[in-house]
Amino acid sequence: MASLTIKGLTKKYDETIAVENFNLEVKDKEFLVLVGPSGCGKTTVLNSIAGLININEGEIWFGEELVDAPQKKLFKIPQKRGVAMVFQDYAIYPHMTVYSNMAFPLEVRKVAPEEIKERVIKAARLLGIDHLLQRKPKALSGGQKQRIALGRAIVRNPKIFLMDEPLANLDAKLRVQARVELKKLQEELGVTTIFVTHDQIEAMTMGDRIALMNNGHLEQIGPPLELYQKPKNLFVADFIGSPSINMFQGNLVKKDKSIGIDLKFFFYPLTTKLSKSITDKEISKVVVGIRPENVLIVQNKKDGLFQANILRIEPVGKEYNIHLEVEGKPFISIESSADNWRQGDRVWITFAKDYIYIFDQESGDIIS
Amino acid sequence: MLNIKPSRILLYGLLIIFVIASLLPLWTCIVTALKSSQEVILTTPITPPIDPTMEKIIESINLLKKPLMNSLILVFSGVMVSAFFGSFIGYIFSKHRFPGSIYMFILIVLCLYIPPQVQLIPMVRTMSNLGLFGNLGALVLLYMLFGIPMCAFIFKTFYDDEIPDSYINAAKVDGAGIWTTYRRVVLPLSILPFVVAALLQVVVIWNDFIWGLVLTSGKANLPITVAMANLKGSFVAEWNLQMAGALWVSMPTLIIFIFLGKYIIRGYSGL
Ligand SMILES: Nc1ncnc2c1ncn2[C@@H]1O[C@H](COP(=O)(O)OP(=O)(O)OP(=O)(O)O)[C@@H](O)[C@H]1O
Ligand SMILES: [Mg+2]
Repeated sequence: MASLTIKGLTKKYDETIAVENFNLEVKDKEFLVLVGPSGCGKTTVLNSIAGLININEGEIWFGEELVDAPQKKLFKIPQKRGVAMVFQDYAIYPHMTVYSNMAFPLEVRKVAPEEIKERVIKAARLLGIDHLLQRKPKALSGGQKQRIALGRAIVRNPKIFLMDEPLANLDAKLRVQARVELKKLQEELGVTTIFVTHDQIEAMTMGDRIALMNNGHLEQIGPPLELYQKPKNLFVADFIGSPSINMFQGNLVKKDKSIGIDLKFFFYPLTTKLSKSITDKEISKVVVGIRPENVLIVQNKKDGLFQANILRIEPVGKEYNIHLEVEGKPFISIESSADNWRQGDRVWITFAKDYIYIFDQESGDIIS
Repeated sequence: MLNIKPSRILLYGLLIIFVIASLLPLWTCIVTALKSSQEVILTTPITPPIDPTMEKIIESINLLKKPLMNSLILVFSGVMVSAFFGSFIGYIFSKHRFPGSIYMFILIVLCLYIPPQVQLIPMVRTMSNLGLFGNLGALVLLYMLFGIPMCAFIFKTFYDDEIPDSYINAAKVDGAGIWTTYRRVVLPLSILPFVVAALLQVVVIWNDFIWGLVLTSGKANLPITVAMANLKGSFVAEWNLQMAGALWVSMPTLIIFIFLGKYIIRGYSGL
């Protein structure tokens, strides 16, 4: 088992820069989720770790061992890195039985036949696929194939698990189940795992920590709740959370002594504490972010409220997503009950006080 | 009442004419082979034999026995070797690209378009230098090498389209080298391109004439196409004997085209 360190990883494909100056530290036994929109470079990072592509710059360490450093002309071939990888399409060989598929990495490594048998059967039991061992993969379901791919990875007792969207091809119900099983398995085996997904729910539910990528850069890394509650910038705030955060553009204005944000339809006064931290910076255009659960619909008019129209009421299980609109700008509130309102109603809205985020419109960085 | 559109009638009429035109040589070949030497002189090539005889068909196979064996040797050795190398080369160019590999592959494929006429003299010289000129060995070597570009092309196309890179990457991560991956993962999945490549090569080698004519000498070394051409006789043209020989020569390729033609079409259309 090992920790993993990536320093200043850069990978270019001709003109396109897939990943630039990427740094990451994964602790021993940790389950790290690498998440980000399509094309942001997740697979590139994973393939770099496995040694499947040659990186342009940077260093990759497995524990104390340097495995990749182009500046030092060091490159350890994938065969020798001791990582196991689960591919998005599972890469199960169609001409081999399930048993042979799982035995393949051990046979290649010249493990004794009795030991191979023992380890394959043990892994198959663990994954609940021991009854499939003599079958050919063609006739198996997506969920079963996914387990075989996992099985082939775990028979090897690898130092590091790399998984590239292993659940993406499963249907919704199976995916939820596989999420739980995979996480449990990883805890049992205690193998350092890097799990790639573009699904933020998968990231939130599975990761010990989440590394959020965008455009070849690391935007933020931390435990799921930290990314949710303390996003460093607009991108993080927008990516994490479902339904996603509501955003309103506005201008900072001074009114009397205090500062507020002019949202056109509403003047949002800032607390004195907030005002202080903002006056130091030379910013006038901002974006206000507020999570749907912190948008509150109230019965009666009070101070500090504004009015919005209900566009649609969407029941999602025990909650309701209420789609609202103010001056052409749509936003969402999550309520536990929607009995009092109907589509088309005009209602009073307030933002829960301490839960708004203010971002610099230009840089996207958070101000408070 | 049968109601058929005039355009259909025209279409089928044309098709029938084409079919007759393309089957005419085969028809002539069969009827002539069944005629006695006298009848050949007295009748036109397309009239059916009045008194069919198997005489010339049997005579020709006796004369062609040795060349037939020669051609079988050429086909088997050529097909085995070029399909194997073609497969491995196709695998390397498809799954283990290196800088400039695409240009190398284009060069290999370009070899397919060099007409044999320009290669005749250099090849005769090379074979003489190797001490193979006049032997069957010259042809064996030649067909092995000449088949490789076509096979490499067929296999690369197949591997590009049908074998995902993730199979190769998974094998790599699991510790398998280039050769092990080829033998354990790629080769067992290559049955289709092997069939296609083999059929194409069989047809090419079996039908080839020019190289057999130029590179071999002496009755014992001739491939079947050349031996068949020699059947025509020195003073009088023995058309019936020659047509009987032609029947034997064309039989294998005919059978292949009729029963396995779809594989050959896949080969030409990039699988
Ligand atoms: N072989 C390649 N040649 C050229 N460009 C590539 C290659 N592989 C990836 N790229 C580019 O590098 C960038 C990052 O790709 P990568 O596959 O790492 O993204 P990803 O985050 O895994 O996306 P996805 O979620 O769609 O799998 C993309 O812009 C992609 O177009
Ligand atoms: Mg990817």
